[in-house]
Amino acid sequence: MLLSLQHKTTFVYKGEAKDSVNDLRLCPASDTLQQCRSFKLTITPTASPLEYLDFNGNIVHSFSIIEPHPSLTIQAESEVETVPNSERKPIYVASFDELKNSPEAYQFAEFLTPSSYITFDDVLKSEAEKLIRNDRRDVWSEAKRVGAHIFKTFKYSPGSTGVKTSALESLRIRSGVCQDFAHVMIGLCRLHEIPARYVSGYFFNTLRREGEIEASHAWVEVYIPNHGWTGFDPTHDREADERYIKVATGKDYADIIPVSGTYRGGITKKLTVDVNVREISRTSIPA
Amino acid sequence: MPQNEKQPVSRPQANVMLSRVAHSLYWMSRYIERAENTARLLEVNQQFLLDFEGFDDTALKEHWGSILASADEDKLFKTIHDVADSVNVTDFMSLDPRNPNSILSCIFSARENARMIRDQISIEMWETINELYLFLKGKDRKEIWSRGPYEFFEDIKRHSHLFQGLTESTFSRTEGWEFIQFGKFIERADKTTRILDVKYHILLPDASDVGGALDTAQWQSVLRSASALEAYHRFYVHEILPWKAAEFLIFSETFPRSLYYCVTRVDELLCRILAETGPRRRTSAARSSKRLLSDLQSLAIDDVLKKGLHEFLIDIQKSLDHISNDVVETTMFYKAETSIEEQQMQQQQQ
Repeated sequence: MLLSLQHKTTFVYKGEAKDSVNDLRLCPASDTLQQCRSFKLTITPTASPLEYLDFNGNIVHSFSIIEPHPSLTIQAESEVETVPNSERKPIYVASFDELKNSPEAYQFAEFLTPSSYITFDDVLKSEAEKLIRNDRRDVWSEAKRVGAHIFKTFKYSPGSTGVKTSALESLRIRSGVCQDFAHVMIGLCRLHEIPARYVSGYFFNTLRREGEIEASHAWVEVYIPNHGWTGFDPTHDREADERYIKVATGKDYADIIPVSGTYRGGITKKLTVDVNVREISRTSIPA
Repeated sequence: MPQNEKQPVSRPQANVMLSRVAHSLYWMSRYIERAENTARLLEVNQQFLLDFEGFDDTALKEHWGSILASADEDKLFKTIHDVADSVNVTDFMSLDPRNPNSILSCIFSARENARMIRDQISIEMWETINELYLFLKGKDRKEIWSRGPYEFFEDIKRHSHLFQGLTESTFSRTEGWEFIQFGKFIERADKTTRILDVKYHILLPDASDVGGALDTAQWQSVLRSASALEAYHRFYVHEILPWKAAEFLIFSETFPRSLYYCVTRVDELLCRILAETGPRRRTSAARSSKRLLSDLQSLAIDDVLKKGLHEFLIDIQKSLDHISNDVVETTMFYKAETSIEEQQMQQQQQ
């Protein structure tokens, strides 16, 4: 599937901002399931970003604006081709023993421990215990069961949580948005000894109604031996398929913040985010 | 060198200096210079008094009082001691930790500054300061005063000279060097004004004594306090004349402790530190220094005496204070900036 996406972030400051230093994690990843065909970054006021890979292998664009500016706009435009569902490998059925003895175990050690948004509190632990079964099936089925549990018992409710809401806080009120669903699922998976990480990206909503919000999306990847990191979306209770565009991965939201940075000056008066994901029809591409 | 051998990695930031480092280099240098000048002043005046054994208590008090007054330390002294006699004043100005400008306090502060930038200075520079520190730390006051302080002052002076020589021969000529030299010359200029000012505070017993034996001896000790006696005699074979001595310490173009010489160096260093290249100065510190320098270039000793030597010196001290405060503020301490805000984060919420 060939998708085009636009992600425009605008900060309007009270007064002016200066000495602004920022990191962007907006460039789609390229791996076995997707290829980023083009990426264009437009920053106003003009800045020349420096590109580097962070610890998790994500592409980061870093820039600074020293001069005072009343607002800052970051527009990221890209085209990504995802591997169609029909061409995707079936997910390997791996037992928990295989996972434990996997030679890649060193790669996922940090995705089994608590992280800044996901602490192992009593509330999370008792939720994980409720889900534990004596006859554990394969790793993927267990991960899907955890995801489905969240989908069934949580209410999707924009505004009920904020960007800094932790897994624990969202679990207490059993509601939130995709960011919270992902955090809780990661926490439960980790307590079930399934390596799990946070994925930041976009989702092409084929059933989108006019006026429905579009934003960046978040889901979860769990590690399946002999298969690799495999995406599951607890907000929609399904595997991440050709409609999902991956941008960055990390232990939790703190690792993949799309636009992060610091500046000197007044507070931020307004933050607006516009996301637009569309399919590019094959016929419109010139031969 | 074999072709496949790796080149050593150079530091691209080698010439960039943190303001904190500049600040420490500056104060390290100033404190050492201050300690040396105080040692010289005390030593010379101790010896001077040996020549005038006939001084009664009042004359003694007056003499030491004038040294305290010229150093601006009479107020603090009075809170600690009642009588301004040789032992009290010498002790107060050399080994009293309660006096922030005593030799001991200066060396401790110089060492503290050097310690903070231990990686920026040569091992030789550091060891010299540290040796002086350990020397002072282990000193018993009674022992010093019973043996006579002459050797003690000599030790301080020698270490200061050693330190300056080592700096000259082991410190790279970078921005840091400019800060070290700037600190040294601004302190030296200030101390020269104070050494000269001592003479103002010492009243002659009688107006007819001007130019007499006592007056001449006093001026001789002023010159010796600035290590200027031999240099003076190279210029003026004649006996010491008061206004000639003052002229020499203020206007000599070649003597490295004269006000004119020190201010010329201060102005040069300042222009390099503040990147002042044009004929019209941009910064207030550089304008003050140019003004001070042109005063010293255009005035003659007659103008100074007409205005009053003391008033003239006080004005110079004020200008020097202004210049040094300004440079510290603009290059070593930035005014507290507004705090850093975090860019507001966007929730992933689709």
